[in-house]
Amino acid sequence: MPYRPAGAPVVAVLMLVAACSDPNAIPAQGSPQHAMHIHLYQKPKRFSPLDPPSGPDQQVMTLIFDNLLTVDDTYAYVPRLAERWEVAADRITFHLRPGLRWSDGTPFGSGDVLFTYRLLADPRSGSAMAGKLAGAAFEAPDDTTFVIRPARPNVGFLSLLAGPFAFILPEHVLGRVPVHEIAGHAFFSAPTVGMGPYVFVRHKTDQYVELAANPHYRKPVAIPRIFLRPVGSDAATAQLGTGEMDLVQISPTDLPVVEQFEGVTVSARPSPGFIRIAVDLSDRRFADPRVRRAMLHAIDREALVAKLLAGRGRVQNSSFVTPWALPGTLEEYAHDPARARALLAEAGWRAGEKVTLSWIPGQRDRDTTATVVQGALSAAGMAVELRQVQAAELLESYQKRTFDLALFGGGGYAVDPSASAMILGCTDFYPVGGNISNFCDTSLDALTTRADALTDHDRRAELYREAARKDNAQVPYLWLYNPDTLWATSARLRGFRGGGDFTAGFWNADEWTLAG
Amino acid sequence: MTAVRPAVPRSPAAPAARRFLRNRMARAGAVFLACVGLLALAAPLVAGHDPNAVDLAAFREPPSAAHLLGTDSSGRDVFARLVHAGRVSLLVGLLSALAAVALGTLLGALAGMFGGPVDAVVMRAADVVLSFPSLVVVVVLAGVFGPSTAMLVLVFAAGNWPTACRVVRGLTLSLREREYVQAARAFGAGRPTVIGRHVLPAVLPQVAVVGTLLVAQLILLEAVLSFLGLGVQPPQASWGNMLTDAQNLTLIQTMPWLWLPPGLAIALTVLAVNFVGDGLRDAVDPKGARS
Repeated sequence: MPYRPAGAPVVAVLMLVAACSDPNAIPAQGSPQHAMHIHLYQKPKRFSPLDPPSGPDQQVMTLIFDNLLTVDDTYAYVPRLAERWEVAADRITFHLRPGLRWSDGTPFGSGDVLFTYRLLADPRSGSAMAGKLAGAAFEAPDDTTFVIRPARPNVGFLSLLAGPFAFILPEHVLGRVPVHEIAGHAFFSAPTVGMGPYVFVRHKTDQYVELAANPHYRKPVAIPRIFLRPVGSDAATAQLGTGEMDLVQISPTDLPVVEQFEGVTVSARPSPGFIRIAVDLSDRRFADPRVRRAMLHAIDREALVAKLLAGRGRVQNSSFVTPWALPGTLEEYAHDPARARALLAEAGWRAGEKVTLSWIPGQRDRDTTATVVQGALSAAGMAVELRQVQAAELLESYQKRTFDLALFGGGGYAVDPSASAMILGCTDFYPVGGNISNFCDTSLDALTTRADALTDHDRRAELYREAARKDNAQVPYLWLYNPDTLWATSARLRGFRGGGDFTAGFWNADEWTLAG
Repeated sequence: MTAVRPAVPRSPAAPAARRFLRNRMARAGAVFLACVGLLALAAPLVAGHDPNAVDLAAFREPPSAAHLLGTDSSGRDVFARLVHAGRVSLLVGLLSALAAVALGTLLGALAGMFGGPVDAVVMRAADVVLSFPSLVVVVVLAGVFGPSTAMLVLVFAAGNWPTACRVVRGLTLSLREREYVQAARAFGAGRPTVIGRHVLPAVLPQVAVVGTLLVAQLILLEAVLSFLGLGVQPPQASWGNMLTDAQNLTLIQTMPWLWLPPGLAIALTVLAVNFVGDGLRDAVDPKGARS
């Protein structure tokens, strides 16, 4: 019988901790000092602007693709492929930068933009933006001009295009692919042609995504190689301390420790989105708004912010984030377990009814939030089972409506409230739009539609406030909190200006440099 | 006239028990395991708190009179989780080792007693099972069926029976040539009867040693799998997933009450089981121990 040494368990645990802190074998060319290492908070799947938004995919696409415009760290519009634009009531005209080339050297022009927007607007392509762009008309009158005519006047339309999405695709690579076949095209697993500052090199599943500087980018790119590595936030934070990571999104509770790392800088910005739980409203058990209100009352969201976020966040009570679109007062759904139980009883909820809470694990704040929510809802009379899933499984459950509760976060709703309308609309059910809860209130839709047709800001704000009150009363999502996004950068990384939107934090990657 | 005392047959268990009790490490291991077992059995009585009760007001509190081992990131009482986790770890270790040993003993006895094709099939099956890395099998099964305690027990049992099987087969091959076994056969006892009456009682001490050491191995494996998120699922506590919850730089540097108790619980329990196993081995096979 083999003898097992006394220290075996301890050694095993230490080896596991070490293994978990560095599971990614970076190839030899990654080891030179001039390779940058970025933490991806989840595993990327593939890199298609047609796919429903997924944070890690968007982070990678921001580096290898480019779009007409985006938002910076203050949520102001920033020109990208378009150097300027004009917004009129019925159209937006983009003037593209002249003389641009794709990463393979092919000239870029408005034809590529036209090709991409037609794909994005066509439901047959599987585009998740088809709902946003439905009915819009596109024109490319010359090689550097692109025009969009929305289906109806919408002054907030520009905000729907500015962010880590609507990336332009190469017509010379994909132009001949039939539209109904394009969603599954191999290009999106290895998109080696793009307009971004970096070129896709390889994706080692569960290990890293490797990118190289784009030689045809519109200006010189200083960092020759980037590795994006999907590891847990705890391991990534530890690697920041050992110099193995250059850019990490950290948990607020780790801030005191991270601030002691030599040379590491931390920047914090309020998120333009929020952490929430989608409730499958196509499931009759959740159809009664009192059930959703009860769930909000059951969860101590103030304590989540105070403890889990170390005060670096705000309790959210609306699907709308843009300050001017919010009324002065909203129902706050204060923590009140007795009220939660009473509401559930009124709604006829059967005590002990099983409910599943799904989420993608790996981020300490969210992992703990899932546990806290499970405890709170269970105490209120719901038998909540936690279910850790991978991104693909979660997205599939949205589409098939097989989830009960899904914990997730993100979104960019700070620039204009029309972005929030996209997660509430009756015609925006996932995957056509971002309405994951399958919520539908035609009167709320009417308000947002009327608001978007107006150019009078005050009147528009008034209508959106009314929509926000309806949203607040019906609780289409269990809004949890609007966190500050904390970026920690190594001493050698310069020029990073990450915003509160963690999916859009790489918007100025072409300005990054590595010291030393 | 001298009175002659009738000879009292001596059981081999008595000297074995004496040898075991003389072994200080085995004794210490047995006492420790008894304590852990008692704590686990009495967990609801001694814990003082619901192991899954979330209380953010008590977020990451250090040990105090209210919370003997402090609280975790969800405000749950660490001591309550530790003793309840002990139930899971011991249950998985004991149940799966018991199942593995029972299956292995049966198959080993059959293989040794029947020989020929039965022996060949059983031993090749054992070779096949031993060639699979159990960690990979659990990863696959956890993906297919979802990780759970029941799945762990089944997979551990299915993957670890060959150890006992090989030991029992070897012993049975030797036993079946013994005179008393051949006598039983000559008097018409069938092979199943011989296995039940003669082989199983004879191999029991060795099987107990195998089983004990297997318990240690499987407690450790359960901890590793739960640590990796493939074993016991939250919010149910296991020592492995308590370590996972504490796998964070801030917690490791500043809050040892979150990782030290489950780490020590795993290490000391496995160590104690190993001491008991070694003690049992030395007790039932003193020649082997001396050599």
